[in-house]
Amino acid sequence: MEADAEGAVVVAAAKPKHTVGIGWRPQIAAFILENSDLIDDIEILVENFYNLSAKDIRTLRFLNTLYNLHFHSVGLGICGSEPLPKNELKKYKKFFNMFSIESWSDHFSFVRSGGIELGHLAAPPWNDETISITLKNLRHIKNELGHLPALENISTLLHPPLSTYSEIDWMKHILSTTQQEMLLDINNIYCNAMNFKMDPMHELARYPFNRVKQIHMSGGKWIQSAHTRHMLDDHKQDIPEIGFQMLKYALSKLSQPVSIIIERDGNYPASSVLKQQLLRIHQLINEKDTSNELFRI
Amino acid sequence: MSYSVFENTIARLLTDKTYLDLFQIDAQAALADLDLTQDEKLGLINMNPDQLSVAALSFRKKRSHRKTHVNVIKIFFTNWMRKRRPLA
Repeated sequence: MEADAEGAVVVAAAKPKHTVGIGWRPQIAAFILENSDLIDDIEILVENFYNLSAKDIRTLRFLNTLYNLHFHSVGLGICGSEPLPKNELKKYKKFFNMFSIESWSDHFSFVRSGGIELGHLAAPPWNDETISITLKNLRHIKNELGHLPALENISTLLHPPLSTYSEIDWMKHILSTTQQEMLLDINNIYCNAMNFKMDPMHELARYPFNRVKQIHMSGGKWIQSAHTRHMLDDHKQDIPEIGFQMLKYALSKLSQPVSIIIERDGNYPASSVLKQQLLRIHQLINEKDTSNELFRI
Repeated sequence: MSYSVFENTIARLLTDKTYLDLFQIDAQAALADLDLTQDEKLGLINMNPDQLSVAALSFRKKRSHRKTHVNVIKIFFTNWMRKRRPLA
């Protein structure tokens, strides 16, 4: 404890720190284990471990001895008009009963409709009807599983027809009704801003930071269509500089600890590149902590 | 009922190339016999065609990749079962 120039007592704050992690993929398993000192959290895609074979269970238990496990799912279709699939919910229940969950997240999306399995996340129209559908589905999940996932903003190449809200206002409405946590995907904000001609930093500033529990970091690429180019969030590129700038801004707005996870789904880079990305995130956290760690009493 | 038809129509446009082609040639005809309100039909007709095309392409690619992945797993297990079960 020390006194500053004006005589006020200054103490080191014992605030919980942000943590850093990466999505578990067998292709980068060796990298993850070699860089455990930089990794606190591992994000597990639930659907990759659905069958819970003996090997799956051994893998997860092993990972759980080294890292906090965050479960991430893509299969519920929380914003879809179809009843949530009973079998899926049963599988989730079994999965969650088996492991201690640090956190669980899914998406603001629908993934099936009228017998069509989309195989990917689709943005619903941002309107009152889908708010009411989503709230109904969330109530059902709460009843079945006992808790709610943090919900993640998604990227979309198609502006959903019949939308009467902005995406952010629509999500805020749901989150404030359920008092739910949010997974903030930085690159999805960037992609949507690029595709719908908006300023990514301005969009980011409108998010409800008090609800954010996790952050996703990834990279996408430009694709060309007949008339224009679009930003696709494919998780196969390095995190762009704007992504780090957006993270820096988000960190400045957060007053609670979050888990920051790198998502990489292919086109895996050299270990040194992935390591550099982890180090950059740690650096941004430390910069923020240094500026906040002393406060007056 | 109407919204689920609307949602299903988006899902179909994103995944069914033949239906998307018909919609892009004659949207009114593609939507004619669907139980949609006039506003819902207009919402679909007024979608940005370029965004729709590129989104549909992205969904079809993901689905075909997933199917290929499932097929590889099926072939692997079929071969594995054959090895385990000697032919009579």
